[in-house]
Amino acid sequence: MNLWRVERLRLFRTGRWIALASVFLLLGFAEPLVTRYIGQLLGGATGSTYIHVTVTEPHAADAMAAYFGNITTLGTLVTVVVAGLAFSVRSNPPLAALYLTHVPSRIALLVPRLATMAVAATVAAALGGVAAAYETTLLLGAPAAGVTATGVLISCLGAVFAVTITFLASAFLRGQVAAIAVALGAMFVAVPSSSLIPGIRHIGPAAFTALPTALQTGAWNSNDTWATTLTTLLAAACVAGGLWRSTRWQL
Amino acid sequence: MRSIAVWLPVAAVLLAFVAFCGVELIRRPAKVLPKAAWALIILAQVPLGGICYLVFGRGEPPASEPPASEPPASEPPRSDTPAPDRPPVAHEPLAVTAADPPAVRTRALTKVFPAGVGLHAVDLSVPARGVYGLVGPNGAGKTTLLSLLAGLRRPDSGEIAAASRMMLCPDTPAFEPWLTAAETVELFHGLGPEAPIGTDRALRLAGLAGTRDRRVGGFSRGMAQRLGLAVVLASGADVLLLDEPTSALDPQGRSDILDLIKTLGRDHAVVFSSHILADVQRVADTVGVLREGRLIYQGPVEELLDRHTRPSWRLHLRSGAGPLADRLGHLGWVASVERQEQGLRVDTTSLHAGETLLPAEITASGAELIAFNPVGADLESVFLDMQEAKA
Repeated sequence: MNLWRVERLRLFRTGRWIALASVFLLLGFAEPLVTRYIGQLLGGATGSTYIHVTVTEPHAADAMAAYFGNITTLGTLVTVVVAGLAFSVRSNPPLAALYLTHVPSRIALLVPRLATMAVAATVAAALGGVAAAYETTLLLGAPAAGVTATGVLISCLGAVFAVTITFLASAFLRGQVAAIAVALGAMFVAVPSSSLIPGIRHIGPAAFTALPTALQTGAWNSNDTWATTLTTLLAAACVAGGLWRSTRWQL
Repeated sequence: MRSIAVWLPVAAVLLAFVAFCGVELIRRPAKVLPKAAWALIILAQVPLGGICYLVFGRGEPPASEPPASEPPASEPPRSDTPAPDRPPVAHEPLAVTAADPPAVRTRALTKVFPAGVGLHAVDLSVPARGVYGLVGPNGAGKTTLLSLLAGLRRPDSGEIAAASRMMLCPDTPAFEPWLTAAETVELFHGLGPEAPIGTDRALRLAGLAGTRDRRVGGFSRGMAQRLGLAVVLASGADVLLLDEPTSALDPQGRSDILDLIKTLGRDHAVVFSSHILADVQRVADTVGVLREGRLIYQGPVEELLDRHTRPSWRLHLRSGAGPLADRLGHLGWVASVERQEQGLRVDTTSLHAGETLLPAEITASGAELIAFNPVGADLESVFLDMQEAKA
């Protein structure tokens, strides 16, 4: 038994992997369906007497864009909650005391948690992307392979970004609820707000999180490269900051 | 055919997810809300209800107490693996020579919290082997001192010098609830250096051999304390910091664990904090008394008891207690005489007076003496005296 195996067991025995995978898989399977039948759904909901709803013909890109748009919210929400539960070492002081007096270093304790969670989020995002592409192919035809693959990769990186933000919040805050709330605030308020800053509007994390959706209708450009690079650096800074902060922990 | 391929994955994922949540809801206790409420939420809000249940509502199945026929093993914690270089375990009373360097030494250790409480210039010296009892009233700083020694807090000033690795067992240990007892011990066993006591032996010594494959989520507080001891036993540390390790145990369990602690002290340095002074007196070789963050006494338990032993005797008399009490009451070397159910308790001004003059007075009074015993001090009375003296 080692800390890597403990983290795998944490994911599987607590059932958190099901929460994580089910959200991405269900969105992957459901979004193309909703996109394909949105006209009928709205028509059925409004009736045919007074309101007539006309929906443009859906395309494969619309279904994939709908999927990427939804995992940016619901997928991020579940990822942050599951990660926050795993990272909040100090929320249980007696357990933290046992861990911190036994591990050779705090980094040795936290790296397996971080890496396992990052891999889990990546796998969930990749599975969701594959499910969405499968369902879209059946309903609306095959989506463009290049942009879909890029979008899935970016969505995986986005999930890892959410994990690192949660890691940083958990390193600074003792309680699980507080850490999760702050991480959600960062992902849903601070990151979108970065698009209001003129200098980084097109190259910041807000542009990065919108990238999978935007790629369905546009081509990759140099701003996208900058957004990806900056977000990756920001994620690395979150990891470094969290690890540094953990060395200052007191119980 | 295509519609089946479209709908089947969605239906399969949804059904499998709801079925899994249902099975888990039946198998395990629920947290936060009653099971019926979770069932409604799971069915009404597919899949969010199930996700909420898995993250917030899923409890761990309770574990039963270990069978009464399985007390902790009280034999010395010998090695699971051959260790030819290890000296044989000593069964004689502890004999730490002056040449043995202390396992832990602090100098002017200070940690002050905002309200002014904390530790003030504590000079602790824990012998390399033996049980060091740390006593003091609530808020005296025992847990703070142990946390500082374990490196869980940073001191404001002062130094801590430790010759070897220290492990802390908190008073209410907590563990990952989804690990079994054996996995828990194995985890901490693997984190430290090569430890002489293996997982199974540590569990057996702590009286948990019968629960090795049960998940610890449902353990009672007493079982968690036993598991905490098993964890520190298997950790391979030379200095064991035990914060009130018997506070949640029943009398038999407490006695078993105290025996184990006493045994551990033969080849470890054990720092053992407790409110139960009789426990400390029973197992500790050295005692440190904390009061308001200051170490007001540190030394051998026997020395402390001897220092506070009054020249006092209990006389068990068949007859003649009244005349003897009257006679003693007028003597200058008698400090006090107290009538008791079957005799007298006599305090003298010196040990010498009690040992030489008191027997002569008993004989002269004609009282029929059954027993003549010195009254010994116990740690509790000494502790209370010390607290009163400082107040």
